[in-house]
Amino acid sequence: MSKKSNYYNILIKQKLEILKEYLYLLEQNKLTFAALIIILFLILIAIIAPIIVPFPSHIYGAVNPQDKLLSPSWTYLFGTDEMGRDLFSRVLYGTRISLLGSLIAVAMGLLIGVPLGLMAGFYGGFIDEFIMRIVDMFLSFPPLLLAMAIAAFLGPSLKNAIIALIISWWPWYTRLIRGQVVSIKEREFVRAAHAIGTPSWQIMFKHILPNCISPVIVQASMDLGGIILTLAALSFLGLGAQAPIPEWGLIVNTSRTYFIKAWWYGIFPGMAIFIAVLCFNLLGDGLREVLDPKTKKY
Amino acid sequence: MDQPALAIKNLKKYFPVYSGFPSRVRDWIKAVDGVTLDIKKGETLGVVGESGCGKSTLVNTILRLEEPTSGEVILEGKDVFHLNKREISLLRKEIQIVFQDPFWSLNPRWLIKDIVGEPLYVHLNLSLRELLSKAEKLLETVGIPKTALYKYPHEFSGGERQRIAIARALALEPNFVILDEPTSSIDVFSQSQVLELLEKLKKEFNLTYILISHDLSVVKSMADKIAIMYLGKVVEYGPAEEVFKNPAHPYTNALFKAIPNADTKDINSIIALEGDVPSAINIPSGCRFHTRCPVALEICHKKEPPVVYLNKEHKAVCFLLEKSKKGESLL
Amino acid sequence: MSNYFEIKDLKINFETSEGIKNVININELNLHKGETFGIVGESGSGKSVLAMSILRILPSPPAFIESGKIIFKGQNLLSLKEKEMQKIRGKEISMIFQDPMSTLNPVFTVGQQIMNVIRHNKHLNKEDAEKEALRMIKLVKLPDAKNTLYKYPNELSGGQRQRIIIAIALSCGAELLIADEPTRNLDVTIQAGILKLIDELRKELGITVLFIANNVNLVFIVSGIVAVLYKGKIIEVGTSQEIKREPIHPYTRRLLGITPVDREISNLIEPDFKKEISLDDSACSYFCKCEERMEICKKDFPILTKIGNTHWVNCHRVINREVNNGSTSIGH
Repeated sequence: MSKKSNYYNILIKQKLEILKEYLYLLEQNKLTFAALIIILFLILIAIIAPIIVPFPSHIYGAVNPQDKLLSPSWTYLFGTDEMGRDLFSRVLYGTRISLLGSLIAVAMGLLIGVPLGLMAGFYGGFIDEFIMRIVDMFLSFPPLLLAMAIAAFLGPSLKNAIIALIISWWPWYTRLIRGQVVSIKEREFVRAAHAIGTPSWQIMFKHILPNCISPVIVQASMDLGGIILTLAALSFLGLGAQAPIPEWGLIVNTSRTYFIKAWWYGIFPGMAIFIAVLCFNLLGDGLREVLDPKTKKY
Repeated sequence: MDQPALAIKNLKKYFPVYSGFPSRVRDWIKAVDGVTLDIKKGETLGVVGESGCGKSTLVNTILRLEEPTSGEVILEGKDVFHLNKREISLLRKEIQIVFQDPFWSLNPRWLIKDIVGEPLYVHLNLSLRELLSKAEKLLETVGIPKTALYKYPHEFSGGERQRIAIARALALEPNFVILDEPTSSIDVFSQSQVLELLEKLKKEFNLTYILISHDLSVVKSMADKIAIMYLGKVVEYGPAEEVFKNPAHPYTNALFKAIPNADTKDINSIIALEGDVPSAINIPSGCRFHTRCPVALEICHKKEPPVVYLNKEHKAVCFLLEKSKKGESLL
Repeated sequence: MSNYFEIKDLKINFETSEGIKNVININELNLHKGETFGIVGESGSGKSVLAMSILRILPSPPAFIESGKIIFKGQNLLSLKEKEMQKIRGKEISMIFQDPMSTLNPVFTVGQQIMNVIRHNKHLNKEDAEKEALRMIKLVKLPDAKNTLYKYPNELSGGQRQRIIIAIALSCGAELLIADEPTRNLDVTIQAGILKLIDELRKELGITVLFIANNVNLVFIVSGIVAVLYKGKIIEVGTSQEIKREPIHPYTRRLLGITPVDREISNLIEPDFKKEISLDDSACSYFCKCEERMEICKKDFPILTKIGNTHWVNCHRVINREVNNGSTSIGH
């Protein structure tokens, strides 16, 4: 239908305009833009890691005792560990694990936390009390300790660490969203939707959610960094990824024993964690400015 | 047909106030305290009153956005409060509302096509193409170009947004439309446009309006009948022209004299009432207006005043009127 | 006769993302001591900007006062240093705003808030400040003054809060009171009380009042002289009687609810504010919305023309006065 395609053209043009504006704003803040570029770069590495890694067999197994604990060289860019494995390959591959792990954790956290927050704020009353008291319970623990406890309970493994993080993180999103929902549901367009006869779940997800998603997006971007860090911390403590998985925190943990002799061992995975977390924090900060209602037209 | 299209019978809506430990209901906010009104098809009823008089609650209850405490609302023969789920859905098609604030009554994140199309989407099973074409037609009715479909509310002025809200209200072809202060938040140019549009639509689609407004010029130009509300009750009701010419109830009189209009000479002509509007929790005994009434009698403190008919259609609730009607001397 | 309060050639610009926008462009505005001067303006007309510029509380950026003078009792307020300006605010010129609830601090009693202002400006001790505060509360005719001192803002009604605001504004002997939509958020019957109070205080204390609102009828009954503000320019000024008798500018007539003379134009769809017909700077700023526009309005900016004792108008229609005399009367 030519009429319909005409409309879609206008719609696409509009979306492009909005995207252009966001990118323009992001560009204004050079730091945030740099952070975004680095993150995209990290994502790229994560995706093509299996292909570009120089020593694929070193990632998991392959003991190579003659090359153990060699300092960085052109063959072994980051040096080798005590098993002779190329640290460059391992750290590179670790990007995959950290990014994927944190993405899963944040996504699941949102999937659980956001709908609960919407329901709590929208329905109020007993549902609100029930959900928010559970949230309060979780939030009274320092997140790292909570994650540690759950991971210890479930048994140390990468999978369980991610589960522990999901459980520790979802309440933050619920609380964040609920506060906003409570004020947004008094807005006239919500009353209008009621008057039209729109079913409640549609009001929650189509009307209210788009209006309160911004702080959640900001928080989630920063959490991507925070979860990488916590995941690394759990692995560092032995509660997360277990050998021979090349998770950054685990590598740092193993490096402790050798750090006097082999300075290169812990530095590179440590820096990787640092860069990833820093960039996500900067991105989240920059997004906060971009999504700030004051810079928006409405 | 002499059956009123919308009959409200002794409608009450009380909101509970919880306090104490353990929390129990201690008090009631009597937002609507016994309202009886009849509206004929094709009429415009103007509802006038200050904040706290209950007009918003009245409207919310008629629309069943709030459940009533007691009373009846009969819409074209159907009892609004005893409908099953499917019938409530039909109710939404019968009676719609245009809100006061054109800036927040449209979801700022939605495109106009979705805003206007929402009622159609919720109630009817239309294809995308049909939805779009219906939305287009609706916008045309209110004088908004079809290019608006893919725009956001913030790209329009207040008057235009209000017209979009009207288009949305008309989507399901209701017979009744409630207009909640339709022009108070928009500029003077758009005001006359919107009012003209509302009149035109009324004639074209044979609509019945309930118009809430504190702008007397708007009420004067649009309303056939007018009801004055104070603290949850209707204190005066009658044909608009007559009530404006001869306001019977002391509150109506004070209200009209307090609102500045083109005929008010100077500051001495406006009447200020003593005191503030009493809270809806502690409604004064007897006539609820007696605490501020400049001509209150002894009896007004003690008993609730009767309904006095000044003529067949004009009535007010006041002891003074009763006395003057009976020819008694006014003490 | 030198004026008590005078605005001359005031131009205020705003820096927006779309460039520099002129928000106020007033050639002349005179207030006489002891009178109420009313300004009618809708939202977007610049009335609040004007009010804030008198007290120099405009956020700058984005606002910039490009040129002009605001002369109060012989002094140009725009040339004063901030320290000198602080001596004027509250003590000589005071301002009250639309929303009493956001102007009052919810965590202090109203008595404390009045006393804070008094002690800051008059350096009285606590006891004397309390007496003064009590006197002010009685002055604004609040019943049970003694107990009101100890009430918090949320314990008072809207009308009572606004009276407290007025008390605070006048507590240090201000001579000029700027009231920017003081009754917008109040119920009509309460509004009447506040308006009467302001008028009584004006007579009692001999203050001058600059009353700003968007309801033209409201401004008429309160003010002696009224100026109509449209997009930062005064397009008509005169006594309320003069303007009511013969409103010349089509915008004024619009505000008064007078049906336009030329019905055909009014049937056009109103242009969107953002999509105005591009005009030369020399054209009349009201052209796009004007229902009585003529060819000349597109080319020449009208000059302020005197048509009565104190009645001035900025419109080409002035020439047609004789012709249109019959249709300028008010009728409903």
